[in-house]
This record gives sequence, structure tokens and C-alpha cells, in this order.
Amino acid sequence: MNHPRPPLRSRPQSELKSFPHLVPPRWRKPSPLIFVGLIVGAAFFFHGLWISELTPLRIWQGFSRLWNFLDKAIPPDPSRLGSVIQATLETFEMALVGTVFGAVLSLPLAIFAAKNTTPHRFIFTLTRSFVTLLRVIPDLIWGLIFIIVVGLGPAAGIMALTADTMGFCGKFFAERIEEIEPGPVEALRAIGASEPSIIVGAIFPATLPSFVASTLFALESSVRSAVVLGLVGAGGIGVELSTSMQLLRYDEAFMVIIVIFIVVLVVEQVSSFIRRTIIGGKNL
Amino acid sequence: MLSLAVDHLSKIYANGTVALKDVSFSAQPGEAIVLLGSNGSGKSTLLRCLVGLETPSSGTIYMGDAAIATATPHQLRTLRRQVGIVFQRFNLVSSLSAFHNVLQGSLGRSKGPQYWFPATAPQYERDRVMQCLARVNLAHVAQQRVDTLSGGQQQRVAIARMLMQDPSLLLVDEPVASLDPKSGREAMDLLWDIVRERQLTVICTLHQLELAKDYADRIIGLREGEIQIDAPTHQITDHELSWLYESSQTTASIETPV
Repeated sequence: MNHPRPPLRSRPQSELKSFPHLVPPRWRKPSPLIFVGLIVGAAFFFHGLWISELTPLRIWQGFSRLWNFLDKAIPPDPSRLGSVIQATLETFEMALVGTVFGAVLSLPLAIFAAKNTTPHRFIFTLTRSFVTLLRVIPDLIWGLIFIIVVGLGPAAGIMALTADTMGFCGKFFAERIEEIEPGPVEALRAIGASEPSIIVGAIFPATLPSFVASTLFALESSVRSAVVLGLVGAGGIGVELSTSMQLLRYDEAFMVIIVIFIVVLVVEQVSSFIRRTIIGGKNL
Repeated sequence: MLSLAVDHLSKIYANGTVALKDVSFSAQPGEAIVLLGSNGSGKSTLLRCLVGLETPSSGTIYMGDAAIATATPHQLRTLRRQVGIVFQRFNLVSSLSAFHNVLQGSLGRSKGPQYWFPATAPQYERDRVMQCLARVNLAHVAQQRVDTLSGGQQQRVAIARMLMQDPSLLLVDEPVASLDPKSGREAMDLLWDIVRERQLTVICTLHQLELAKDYADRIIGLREGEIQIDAPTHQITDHELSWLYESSQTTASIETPV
């Protein structure tokens, strides 16, 4: 307060005069690679817009069809509510079983797929590729594959969700393991502990909160996937929804949609509450 | 008591840094050696080589009658069991209780997963954990997570874990560097009481010359990866010790006019 700011010296000004290139240009030419990338991206975008024929007219006509749907759908028909709720529970249970299987199987997978715990570079590459494979194949395709393997029904859905969860959790668990502090691991190694006891004694305690949070996230995603898996016959509510839709019984379909909405919302709220508690609070 | 001999040990890192140059010394059973040297003098590298966390570029380390470099993974584990380490940053598993951390000291000698969790550990090991915690006056925090404890308390939990391991040779890496002077003294007193009562051979790195003179039987001074001083504590002058910590430029400018 007692020392007023000194007036700006003229030195920067004179420096600018003698070095005009210090001023950044308004425009910079993009590199050829970025330029080509932008052209290709734009080409895909406009071609996609063109083939979809997404014109304002069609959107306007769509509104009247939506009105037609809502007109038939409201009020929703609760006559089959009992079986709808039962099928929705089956969907949730499919998601739960598939996610738990997937998360448990991800534990050994992640140990092999993390740089600092893998027994060998070759095993690291192999498991990483396997996890990537699980992830790049969409859950719906896993569903179709497992329907061929075990037939229609929730078993195929559970297996598809297990594969899906392993693709997600395997990657996140392994990355979390790679981030741990090396100190406690070194301490146990110096004590002469075996590799399995180092993993259980030093690595899992540090990574468990993050593992649980990732698993809950996978559960939320599995519940949504399980609904869609039902559409191809892999068990759960999806088959009810597609039947009602195909029979044009929109009031029944709307009831199904409402029940799905409630279940997904409850699962997401409960799961994010638990995740916040785990990450926020120190207690496991 | 385990004898230790280091023979012409050198360590050159992949990036070309020479951390240790032709280091040789041997420790008598029950001897307390303090390693002195500034940052980057090679103290920590030497300790890490001693326990096999780093592989030396050349030279050999003998513990008892086994050479570390040629030890099989199984032999290395057997050797590590007999070598306790107290780390500068404690290296406790922060999300576990003090009790669980001390129990982990038994992981070297115990086989089988029942030692992995306090709930399944045998009763006599659980009793020993409490004895070790009582020895460092921390029995009252056994159930607390170690990240809720103070730095001095965490260092004492680490000492209790070392007690649980029951080593014959003890390596200590700057045990007081993360502590305030008072808790540092307390940690050193506690550590040395234990060392003397169990007649452990101990190799301890330190930064503080005062502490080194108070606790060491023998001082080894490292500078730029080489042993410059190796003598019983009472034979070393303060001038020699402070020379270890002067940068090479400073020394050069002092020596040139003479």
C-alpha cells in the first residue's frame, strides 16, 4: 500500500520494436496432416447427414407420429405389471451376476495385465490383447454369440455381461495397479514376502476403493446393457418390450419403459451414492 | 547376527550415472555402522543393492556365506527374511491398521494365506504383533489405520514391523529425515535400544553428523560413489566429516590456493 506501483518502463516497448517477430500471429497455417484430417472428418460428417435424409420436413412429420404413439401409450396399461416387474428384476439380477463374475475374473486378469505385477512381458501382451478384444466386441454381439453357445435365456445374457465387464474392469483395474506407490510393495518384498502375499498385502489394500468404484460403474452400464440384450433374446425385460412394440400395444410398452426407467434410475443413484462414500470417506 | 561383506561393488545406471564405484567393506556381527554422504553420494543405492532391490553392475555382496548376485529367487527370499529394513518414508500400507502392517512383518517366514489377514492369523502370531507394538509403545493404536498416525508413530510402526520380521541384519535408510528433530531422536533411541538388546548388525544412512557421532560404532563416508572415510567413530574429526558434504567445486576452490 505504501509503495505505489512504478509506472511501466519503456523497455518492453523498445524490445517489441526491435523484435517484431515476438508478436504471435493471428493465424497459423495448419499442418498438412491436420488439414487432411479435417477434410476427411468433414466428408464423413456430411455424407452421413446426406444418407440419413435427416431433413427438417422429416423431423416435423416425426412429431405427429410421436404424438400418435403417445396418444396410444397414455394411459399406460398396468394389466401385466406383475410379469413386467418380474422380468425387470430378472434383468437387474442378470446385470448383478454378470458384473460380479466379470469383476472377480478381472482381478487375476488385471494382475497379469499390469506392467508392475505381470510375471512376464509375453503374458502382459497376451492379457492386454485379450482385455482389448473383450472390449472392442460390443455387448450385443457377445449376447448373440452366447445365445448360440448356451441357447436363449438369461444364461446367455449373464455371460455377455461378464465378458463386457471384464473388458472394462480388466483395463481399469490394471491401470490402477500400475499407479500404486512402489514403497509398500518394496517393503514387503524386502521382508521376503511371496508375490501372492505382496499382491494381497500391499497392492489390493491400495487399489480396493478404486476397484469397487469401477465395479459399481460397470454395474450401472450392465443394467442398461441387460435391457437391450433382452431384445435379442438373452433374457430379461427386453423381450417383453419388443413383443409389445411389434404387436403395436404401445400402452403396454409404455408401462415397460416406465418400469425400466425407475430401475435404471434407482441403480444409478444407489451406486453413485456408494461410490461417493467410498472415494470421499477413508473407511472401506 | 549375520556377517556382511561387500566386495568391489559398482553400480552404473542405464542412463550412465555412476552411483557406486568400487565399494568394499565388511561388517562385523553386532557392529553399528553409519553411512554418511550428501544426496547422490550413493548411500541409498548401496542399501538397495544390499537387499537385492537393485542389481549391482559388478562386484559381489556376501551375507553369511551366500553371495547375493548368484542367489536363486528362493535363496534371495530366504536371505531377505534375515535382513530388516527401516525406510525413510516408512513404506507402510496406508489403508491398513497398525496391527495389520506389523503382522505383515511375518510374511517372509510364514507360508500360506492365513497370514494375509489379521482375522485368520494364528493366535501366537497375533500375540507377537501386540508384543512388538507394545515394545514401541503403540499398543493403544493397534486398530487405527496407519495414515491417521503421526510421522513419528508411523516410523515406530515400521520399527515394530521390523521386530516382527525378527532379522539378524538391519538396514536403515535415513530413519529421521521425514521426522522433526525431537521425534527423530526418539526414533533413533528406540531403534538403537532394539539393536543393542538383540545384538543386530546395523547399517544406517544418515544426514546429520551429530546423530552419526552419537550412535555409530564406525562411520563410512561416501562421496560421489566412493568410500572416502572408513574408521571407528572416535578416530574421525569433525573436519573430515564436514568435508563429505562440501560440493566438489567448493573443495576445489579451497584446495587450489593451498
